Amino acid sequence: MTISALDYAIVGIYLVGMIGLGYYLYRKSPSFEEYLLAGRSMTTPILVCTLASTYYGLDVLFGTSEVGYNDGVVAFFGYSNLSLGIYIFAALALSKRLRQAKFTSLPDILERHYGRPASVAGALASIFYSLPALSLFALGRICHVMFGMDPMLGALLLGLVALAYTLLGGLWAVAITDTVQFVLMCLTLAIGIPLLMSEVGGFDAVSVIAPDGYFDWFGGMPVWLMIAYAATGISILVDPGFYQRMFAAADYRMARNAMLISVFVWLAYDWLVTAGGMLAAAAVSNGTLPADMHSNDALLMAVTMALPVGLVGIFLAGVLATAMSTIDSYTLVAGANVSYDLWRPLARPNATDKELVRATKLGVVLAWMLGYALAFLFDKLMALWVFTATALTSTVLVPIFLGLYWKGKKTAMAGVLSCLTGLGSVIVYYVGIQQLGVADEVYGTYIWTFTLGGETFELWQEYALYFSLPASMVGFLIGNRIGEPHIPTLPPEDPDLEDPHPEAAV
Amino acid sequence: MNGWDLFTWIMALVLAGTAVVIFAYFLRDAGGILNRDRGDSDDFSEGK
Repeated sequence: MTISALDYAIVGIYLVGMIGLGYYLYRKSPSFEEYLLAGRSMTTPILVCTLASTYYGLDVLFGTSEVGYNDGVVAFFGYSNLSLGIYIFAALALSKRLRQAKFTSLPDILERHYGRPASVAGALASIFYSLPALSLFALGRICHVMFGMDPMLGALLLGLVALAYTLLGGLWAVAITDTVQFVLMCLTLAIGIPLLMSEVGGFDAVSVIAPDGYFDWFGGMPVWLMIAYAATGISILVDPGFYQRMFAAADYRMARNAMLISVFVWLAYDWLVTAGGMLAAAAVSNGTLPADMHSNDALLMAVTMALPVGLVGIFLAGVLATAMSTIDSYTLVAGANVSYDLWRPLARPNATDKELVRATKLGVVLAWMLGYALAFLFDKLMALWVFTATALTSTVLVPIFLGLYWKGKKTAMAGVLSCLTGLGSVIVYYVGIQQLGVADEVYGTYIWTFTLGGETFELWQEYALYFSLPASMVGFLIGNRIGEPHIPTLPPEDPDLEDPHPEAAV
Repeated sequence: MNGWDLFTWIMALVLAGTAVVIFAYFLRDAGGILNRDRGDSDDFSEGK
């Protein structure tokens, strides 16, 4: 890939600007709440920017475009679009309850409703999920494709930029850099894809080379698999980065509105990356792009080809921004899980704000280092990410929702058993399917085919949630039956509070 | 124009328009954010 000096300069200015912003903001963290939750004073615009850029990383930019390149519009209608309904549910159902109860972290919800053991289980699952392995690996790969750098060195250098401003300024630095990154992500894609469309002759050119089913909305995908992909959107219902932004909002209406606006951003973004992949396929077919190009690089190569000098640099900065906005947010979340949810309750119950901020920074560094090590030690990162997302959802979704909404008795045992049976069932299911099933190269997963009563059935690895969530519910019910009632810890007084813990009044 | 082309243009306009409007609103709030109290009990400013 040939990149001009001007484009390199633009990327350099972007990177220096990110560190400069972090440095400018680093003194604005006078307390733990200010450092981790920006003083609970974020308004709708900045929440939109940080939500949209954090939740959409390189996995969407390159993963969805790769599916578009190979399979067509199903990438939008089948893989991405179905999850948006869950995001709307999250906006309407969760924002008010999460913001008004003044929680500090996702495990904090478990601690208040079930006590420490469930909170520790939730914190460990949250840390594992938040390690930035996939983003750092993708950042290294981008550096290799764009600049010809060694992937490990590229991930190290650019990942350190994200680490630096996160350490310096906490959530304010993360959110304000996310804002710049959000604008870069959106504008470069909104300019690049129409230019690419003009370059290759639009979708008329795509239809000439399209294989059967390329324009079918659901592309012949098995219905259970479609539901399973849509269910991956469930992860936002327990996503620690999403929760952190809800807690950081100035009020719940701002959090709800930001989430609803973000849905439109994600909708448009999903289609444009899908279109980019499909248009790249046409560019390969007419010889504009090399035939041996990896489908994962299709969007990057095609848009870079279509943009003029100067805009290429802004696009590449936007691509880096997509990765860095995910790395910064999740390392901060993991750092807070280490300090606030593990170190404080287990080792230092009376920790001061200053000690908590310091411990959070150490946790951020630790999470970054673990993520970097995993990124280059583990070769199936996407599978690892899917597993961690499934494990987190299975561990905490049921106890958190029952904690927030179930008005009856709740016991500490219910919280612990719900977490453990959810997590245990995922591990058993994954190991079982890998042992009994066979690897499917087309879908990149394991499938176990078996016959029961003359009928043939298939169990995919992606179906884990169908079993783990009911198992978690059973664990909750058993624990609630045999355990002693837990007295929930009430939140700090909030004048807007509308009974966030109804069980306390039962 | 192909219907998919039109859809792509609409989505591009939605994305760009939303980004510009949101950023304009962010700039409205930015003064307050960037000029927040810089003193307080900041551990850096206390010479940690």
